Amino acid sequence: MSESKRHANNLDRSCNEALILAVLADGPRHGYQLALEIEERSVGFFRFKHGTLYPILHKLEREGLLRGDWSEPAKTRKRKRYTLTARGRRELSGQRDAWRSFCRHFGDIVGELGR
Amino acid sequence: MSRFASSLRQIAEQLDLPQPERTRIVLEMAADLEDMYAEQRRRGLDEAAATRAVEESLGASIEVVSELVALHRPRVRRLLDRFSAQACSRWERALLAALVAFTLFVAGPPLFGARLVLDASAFVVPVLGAGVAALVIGAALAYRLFAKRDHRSPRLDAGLSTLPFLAAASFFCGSLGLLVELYRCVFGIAEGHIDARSFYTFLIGSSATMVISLIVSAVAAVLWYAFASALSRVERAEAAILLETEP
Repeated sequence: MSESKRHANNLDRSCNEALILAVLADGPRHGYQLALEIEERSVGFFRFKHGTLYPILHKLEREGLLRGDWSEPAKTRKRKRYTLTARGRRELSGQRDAWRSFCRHFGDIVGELGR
Repeated sequence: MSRFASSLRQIAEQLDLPQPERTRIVLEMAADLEDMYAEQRRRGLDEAAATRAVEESLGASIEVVSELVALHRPRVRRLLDRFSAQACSRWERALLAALVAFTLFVAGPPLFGARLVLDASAFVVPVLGAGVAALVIGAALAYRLFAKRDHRSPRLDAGLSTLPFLAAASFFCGSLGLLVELYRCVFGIAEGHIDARSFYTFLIGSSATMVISLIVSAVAAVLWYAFASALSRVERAEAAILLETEP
């Protein structure tokens, strides 16, 4: 993988993780609910290919930022629901600060170039 | 039966993971796909178009599958997999049963006497602690798996992961005890502090400790093997229904 593609993937991955953590801050969700809500709240700007969601969710779960619980709603298939942990909330707070800082500095430079 | 059985089966075949990880990933996807299909239908697509849209959206590329495999298969697990729930063939179970029977028949009487514990060194204390912990965890796993039939509890995973650790810890304590007592004994004899006949006391104590530690290790390992196999069978059966394959 080229260096630029790796950096692009890292940025992409960081963005996706922040989006997932932010949506889960409002309450537990299933995988598809997460993808749907991110798409709706961003008016279609962020759209997940559904399969790409799972490595991210499982990675965050493994890192202790999410907790996955299996539930069995009446008459339907068992489902896995993700909940933000206390550690996840702290990480989300850090990510929010990092992204705010990124956007501010990015805008300072791009804004200047755009004049 | 899932309308996406063939797509899920393809993914399951590509996921080079042991059970129950493979089944759990596929089951999670299956539930979400049904939701996605319902959403596409709600948006006005017909059955065929909704199915196509969902399968395209699944987007489980080689990269995605590789990431899932890398996430769920740490090195220790790869080592344990050689002896784990995959080893459910009749021959392997027969061999294990024969090994246990031989051990009990040949070494039986001394193993079940209180004398063995009384003769052991102080290092037998942590070993017995590990043994008690393994039995308690085994009882809890049996209750959760067979009585409550709850095979998705995180406590089940935690309990299963603890058993190999207890087996290793027991063996470590027994080995450490053997070496420490040997050092003390030989050093004492060399310095003239203790009688050379104390070497027999050391041999008796250390070998008793080592025997107990090996028994505890074996018990913890067999418990882990049995419960991992049972869990794997349950989840394979569930996946078979979902993917319309043989378990």
